[in-house]
Amino acid sequence: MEMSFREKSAWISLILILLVFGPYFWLVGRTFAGIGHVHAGTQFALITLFVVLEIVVHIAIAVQSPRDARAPKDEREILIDLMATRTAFYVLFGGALFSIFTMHFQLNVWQLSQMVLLSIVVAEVVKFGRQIVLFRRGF
Amino acid sequence: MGGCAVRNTIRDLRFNHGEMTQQELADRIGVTRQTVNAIELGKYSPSLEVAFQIAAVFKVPLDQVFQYERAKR
Repeated sequence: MEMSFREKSAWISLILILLVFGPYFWLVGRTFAGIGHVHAGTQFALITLFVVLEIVVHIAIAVQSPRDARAPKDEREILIDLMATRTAFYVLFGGALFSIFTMHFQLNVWQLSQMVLLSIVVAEVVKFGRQIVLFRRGF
Repeated sequence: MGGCAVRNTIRDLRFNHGEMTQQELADRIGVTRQTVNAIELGKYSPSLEVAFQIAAVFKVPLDQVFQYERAKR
């Protein structure tokens, strides 16, 4: 079945976030384990890269189907967005609690910021993943 | 949901109305073609507003488009 603009958008965001932040958190994990090092500014550079890639790829798919891209979300797409965002909220909430809990392990500010960033990234992955499942499977 | 199923006859109605495409129906009721497809396949139950709009497009009563069936247990 041909995908709608919003489903394509969810796939693109999911793939980009995994491609950009997957390797990053692998490096962060090695740094936590004391066998690697993440350079200062990498986090900012990756977030910038992610935003730029999101914009460029979304413009590319919008050019391919400008009518779909311009059309406002319909009721099904709005519902899918709401349901996925609700699920992602619980993930983010759990991540925030876990980040607070890790303070008892005497983490430094950088490490704590990585825990928060990881929570955000996982919540986004869950959101886009759930959107895709709802688009495909229905509800 | 809730052990019940909403069936519809949209595909037949489209066929009987000059083989109207999903895109044409979608444009007339203000949703995407994929949403019309999801409704036809029973993957999505539309709002009352969209359900009435579909019935209005085909000029038939709502219960000729959608049928509510309680699932057998």
